[in-house]
Amino acid sequence: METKIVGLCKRNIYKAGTLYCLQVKLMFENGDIIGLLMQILWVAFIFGFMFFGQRIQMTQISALLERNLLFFKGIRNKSFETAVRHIEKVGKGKNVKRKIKEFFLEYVTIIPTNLDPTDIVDKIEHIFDVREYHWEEKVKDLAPKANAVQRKNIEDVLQGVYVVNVYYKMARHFFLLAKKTKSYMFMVQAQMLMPILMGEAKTFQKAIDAFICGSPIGDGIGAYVAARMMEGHRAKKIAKETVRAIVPFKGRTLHIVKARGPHGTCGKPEVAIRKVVEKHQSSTCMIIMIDAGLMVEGDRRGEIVVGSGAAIGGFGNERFRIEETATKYKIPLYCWIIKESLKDAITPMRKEIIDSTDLVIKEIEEFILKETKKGDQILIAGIGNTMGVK
Amino acid sequence: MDLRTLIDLLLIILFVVMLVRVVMKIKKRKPEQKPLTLMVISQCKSCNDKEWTSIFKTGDYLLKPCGKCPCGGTLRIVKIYNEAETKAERKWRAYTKRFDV
Repeated sequence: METKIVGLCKRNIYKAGTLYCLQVKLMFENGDIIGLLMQILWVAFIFGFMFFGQRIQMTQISALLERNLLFFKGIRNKSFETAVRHIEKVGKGKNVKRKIKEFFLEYVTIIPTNLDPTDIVDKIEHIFDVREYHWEEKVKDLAPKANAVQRKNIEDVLQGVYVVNVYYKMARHFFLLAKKTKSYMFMVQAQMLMPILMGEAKTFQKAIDAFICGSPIGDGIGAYVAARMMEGHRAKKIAKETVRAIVPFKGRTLHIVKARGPHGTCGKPEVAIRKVVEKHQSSTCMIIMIDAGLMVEGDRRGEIVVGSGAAIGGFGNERFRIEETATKYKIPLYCWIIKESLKDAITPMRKEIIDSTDLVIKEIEEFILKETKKGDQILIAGIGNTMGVK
Repeated sequence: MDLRTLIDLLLIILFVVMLVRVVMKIKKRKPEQKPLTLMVISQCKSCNDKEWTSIFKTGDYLLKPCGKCPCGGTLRIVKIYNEAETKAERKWRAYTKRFDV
């Protein structure tokens, strides 16, 4: 039965082939040159796509990616040039270009191994402290005439350039790997990754502009809420680049903690929280953290959400320390989160985000009045990069 | 010229147009960036009833004292923000609004 079907199919193909040849012969005899040419063209077209379709597609994707990569290179070079110009203008250093290329762009931070997780948080903190110190010293050398605020902003600018450079190198790696192996799948992978990497790089390019002019960024909303709550009260240093103000509020005492501004830093809120709690452990009744949180597509920018737990980003070591302190002294940990995208977090503050400040303050005050009694000590921590916020 | 040849020619034209579009897409482009303009809103802490708007300049920061209010109080910057929304962002926001809950 099977042989019969195959035989029938073969016979039909032969039949079609013969008919086609007859048609072509007729066209040739009738002098229908255009029709003949069209026939040949379509046959070539169909067979061409049958055998070289994927290669044609790959060439097309490759050309498109090549152009995107060159565009990406432009973004990377532009960010680099912007940073160099700013540092030369502010810091009046020598060989800025060479120093950035040699040190900052290729800087590596090796995260401690977790084969034995004992004391891994201490190790991570140690590595980050070393890295911070290393960068601070190198920035001093890079921009000797810059003041402390400008130096901190330069550090942020260099972080931005570093990230753009890393994204460019990743995109370049995937593209060249696809070219080298001539693999269609690698090429498709590079095509998928390119818009994501380029989008992030463009965001960081915009962030560099914000860092240069020292304007507040979206991530600083937590720090700004804290700054507004401590306004008019004396803020004293409590940890590295971190301040604390004691604010009386309707019979209660608020200990408000934030990074010291207006330069770009996140401070050490975990250390500040530990110090305050250790000093007032018997009367501290709650810790409230305010931070910017990532929104998902469809969420409204500047939306306020309330929850429990330590609202702090980063690698996780700060969160670990805050949770450790709160658990040790059995202090409830609440958080207020202002929603924004990653782009909003690192680019100049958007109107919808800063407009939510008054509402957050009002909600926190109402919560404190409802949940605490007179004489209680409440710790409020404004988390985030305090660039452009006093 | 018969109908079939006409259709063939139209298909060829379509193919050429598509090819040109692909080539145009592949053409080199340069990165461009618009200059950053930020709005600054100042308010008096004492009377709190009026807002002053200006343009951000380097050195401005939130809660920076920036002058005297007619009531005698001190003006300070309470808002610095970027209002500029791109056309694509506006369109996307309008589109996602229909899924709001």
